[in-house]
Amino acid sequence: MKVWVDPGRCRGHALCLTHAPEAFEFIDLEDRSIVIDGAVGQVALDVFQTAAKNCPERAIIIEE
Amino acid sequence: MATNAKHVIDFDHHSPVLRDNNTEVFKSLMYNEHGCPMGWSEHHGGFWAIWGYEALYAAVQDWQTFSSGHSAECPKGVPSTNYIDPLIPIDYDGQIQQDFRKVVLNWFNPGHARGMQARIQQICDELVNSFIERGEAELSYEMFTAMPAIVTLEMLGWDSSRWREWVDWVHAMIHDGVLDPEGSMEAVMNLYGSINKEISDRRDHLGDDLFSDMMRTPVNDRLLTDDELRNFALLVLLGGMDTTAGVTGNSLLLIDKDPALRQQLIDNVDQMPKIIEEFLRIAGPGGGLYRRVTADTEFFGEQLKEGEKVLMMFWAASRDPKAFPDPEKIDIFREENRHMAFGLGPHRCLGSHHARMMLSTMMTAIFTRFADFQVQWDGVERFEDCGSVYAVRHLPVTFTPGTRLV
Repeated sequence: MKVWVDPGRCRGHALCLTHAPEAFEFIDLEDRSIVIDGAVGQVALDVFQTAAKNCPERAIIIEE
Repeated sequence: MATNAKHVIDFDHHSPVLRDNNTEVFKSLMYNEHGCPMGWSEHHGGFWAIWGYEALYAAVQDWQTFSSGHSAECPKGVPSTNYIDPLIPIDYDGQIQQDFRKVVLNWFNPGHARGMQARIQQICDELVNSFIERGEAELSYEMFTAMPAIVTLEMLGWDSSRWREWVDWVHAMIHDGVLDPEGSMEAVMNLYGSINKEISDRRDHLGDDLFSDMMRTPVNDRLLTDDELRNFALLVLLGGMDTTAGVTGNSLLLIDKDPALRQQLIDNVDQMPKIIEEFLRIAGPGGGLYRRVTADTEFFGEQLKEGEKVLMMFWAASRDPKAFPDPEKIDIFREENRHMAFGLGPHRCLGSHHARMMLSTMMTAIFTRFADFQVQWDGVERFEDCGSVYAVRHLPVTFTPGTRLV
């Protein structure tokens, strides 16, 4: 599985941090989220899916 | 008149009809016989309104075609706004808009909002302490209008004890622009003058606050001019003071009419950071946010002409049945919620992280400390014009008296 946040789409709403704080972190000065190193594999797929379903910019990409 | 508009609507976002019946108005727009996500209204000199979720999503991403620019020659707003200078960064497009945002990203990020959680909780506790023993309160000025105003002024490093004065000017600027243009302009001038005084007072002793950072942080290797600082600070005040209050008041009025929903909130109060997303969707403060078409364009079946104004109806799109199943149902456990309460795209609300923290903190306090509040509907007063921000001016409640927290 691959999961990433498309930097061209993310606009820093940070809802992924609300829904899956164990999987995403925020880069303040770039105003966007990224997947935490090593989270893929550690964090369940449905957690990523919940984050993706609640990302208003549709920026979280999941390839199973 | 937009020539050949396919879908013409009789719609005025400043009308009391929208204020009093927004659900019915949204439905009449949304469920039109052609399935149009937008339409042309002849009110206020003519404008496009976009309410369909997908169309609005597309429009915000295409900022080159849908410009946020504002100037004396090309004023934003429907009708044209009465303030003169462009607000920073919201009235700019492209790289310079992003550069302006960077000046304040050290403050407007989720970590900073988390860092303020203890202070926000303290302000909230003190506000509730001041009325909890009385068993009645006017929740707007005693709680949800006060909270974001105090937090905004504290962040700027300004005297937060003057919050009522600032709030009154902000309300007059936002809500009275169409009803009372002269009074609204007077408020703008008071805001300009008072901000200018903050600039001159601060010049020689910058501190550890947001406004000092705005004064000391370069944009493209230069400092912001005094006019730019004023236009930036004004947006911080406008964004900070009215909208968070709006969603809180709107939510409480909905909850008062729905006993089962009230019980759900009491039972799930520890889930508030997630639950507020549903209230942001269904009870958001709306927002008269506009764009201007920069080039003739075909868009979702309509021919848009250069120079035409566009009303971005984020609050309607957040209730589009194509994006939200059963959109009028308040479902605090909604699984998929990509609401647009904070806008989308490059202009996403900078204060959203702090707004969420304040909303969640206030809702948690309400549903733990005076969850049986009863709205005194005779005394409820909405701001007359909801065309810019849909919000409650006065919200009296009664409740079982409680005790102060120490």
